[in-house]
Amino acid sequence: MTDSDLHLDIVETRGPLAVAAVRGEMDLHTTADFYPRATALIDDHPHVILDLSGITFCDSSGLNTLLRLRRHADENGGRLTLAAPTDRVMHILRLTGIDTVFPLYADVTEARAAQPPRPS
Amino acid sequence: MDWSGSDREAGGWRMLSGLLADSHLMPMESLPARACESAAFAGFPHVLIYLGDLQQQVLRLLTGEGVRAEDHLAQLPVQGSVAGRAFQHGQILPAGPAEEEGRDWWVPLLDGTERMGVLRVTSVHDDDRAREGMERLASLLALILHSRRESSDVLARAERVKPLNVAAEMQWKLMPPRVYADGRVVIAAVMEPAYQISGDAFDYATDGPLVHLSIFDAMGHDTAAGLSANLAVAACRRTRRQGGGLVACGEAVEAELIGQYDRRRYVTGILATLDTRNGMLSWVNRGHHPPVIIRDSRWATHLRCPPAHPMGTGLGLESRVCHEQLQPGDRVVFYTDGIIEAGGAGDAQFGLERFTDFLIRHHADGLPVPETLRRVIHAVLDYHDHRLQDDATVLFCQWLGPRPDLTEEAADLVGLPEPGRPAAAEQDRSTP
Repeated sequence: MTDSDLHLDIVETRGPLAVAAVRGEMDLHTTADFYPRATALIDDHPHVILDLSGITFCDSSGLNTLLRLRRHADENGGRLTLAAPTDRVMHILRLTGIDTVFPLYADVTEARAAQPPRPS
Repeated sequence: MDWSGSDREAGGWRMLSGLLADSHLMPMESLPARACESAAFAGFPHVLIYLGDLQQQVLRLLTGEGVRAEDHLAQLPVQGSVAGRAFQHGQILPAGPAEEEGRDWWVPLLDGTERMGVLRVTSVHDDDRAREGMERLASLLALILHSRRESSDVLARAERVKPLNVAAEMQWKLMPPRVYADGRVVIAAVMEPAYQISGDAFDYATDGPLVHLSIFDAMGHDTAAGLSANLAVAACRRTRRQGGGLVACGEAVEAELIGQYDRRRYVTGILATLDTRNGMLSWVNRGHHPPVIIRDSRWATHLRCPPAHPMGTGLGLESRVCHEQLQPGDRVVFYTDGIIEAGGAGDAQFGLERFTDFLIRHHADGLPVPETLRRVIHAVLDYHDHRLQDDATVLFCQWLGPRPDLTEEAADLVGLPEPGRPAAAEQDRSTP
């Protein structure tokens, strides 16, 4: 593994909910490998909180990956929540208007608190 | 040879009419020789055509029948040569001392206002009338060259010093000339890396009193990004030409992209229209950097307009048309990521402020607008050691006023050598 890889570290899973941390650069090259790993997580746990605090770079392909994952979660009856975006990620989310389409929280604790109650 | 005033008048006419007659059925390869033959009637025994490359870094000799590269200077740098200075500043400049046969001059070659290259013209006379004749010859040759652009690989090859990628091959065909001006507006654009474009494109068009302006940035750095950009420009033009407004253009682009790529690819962009009668700029932001306005060479500000989602994502945010009242002389600058963003993690950004400062400074220096943009884009390239992470595009539009026929300011801004206007070489004409 090199520094330019994009990691998906699963922090916690609880029923349909998973919390995962994204770490590294999100661009065309890194997201190709990342996307199937993330969809596999969503398949098992459709309510996913992504902790974005470890993203050091994000371009249009990175943003597109987040949008595709959002759709994948929707199609599986779940929801993709973003937490703790870095300034850089927040900038690109705002610039594109996409900050308004994601549930977006300052940190993971807030994001977790906002999750719908677990189905019994 | 003796030249009376009426001989010269007749010779000038014969030069232009001969080239016009030839132009219908002349292959590109014959133009260099034919240009010489016709120009000789007007007292210009030698003419060489030099064309700028896509990055406008070098001027290259157009060879053909009777004009071989090994007999002449085949390539000249734009920076640091007299030919390059003529090209940069739009001035007719002496290419050497007066010889027995006459004197050589560098003459800018402008298609409309787009800088194609320069001519090297030997003139037996050295006066205003000769300069007027050279300028007319250059105007006509530029029109002929332009008319062959779509059908000549010789011309296409002359414009490139290295291979293009497929997207660049598509985009340079797609986009309008990099400079346009009339009495109402000056429009100029640059795009780098010129030989390796991915998903950027710009477009503009005049439409009665309206000027449409748009810039697009398709996600990704592959050929599909180039395809998305082409789709976006074509869908937008089609809608506009059927009378659709800015919101409709954005929606048409979105529909085409979703149809082709099912929300796997998107394009951000600004779609704008300037009403040159009153200076009202209307624009829609589809997830892109808002344009910057530069006023009075002092003040630069980002316009604000809530973005709708990038075209092709189908996220359903509402597009809003925003308006900005311009003042005569205001410059609107549209740009893409590559202009301001870092080359990669850890690199320093070129930055928006550095970019606008550069524009303001060179404008104050009185450089022609296309030359300012050429320099700013090369500054961006140098800053990133010629390794751009992303396409860098600038589309620039200066609103001058409502009158298309008041062209003096536009001519100054684009660097148009004016026949009869004392040439810059006036002062050093006596020095051999």
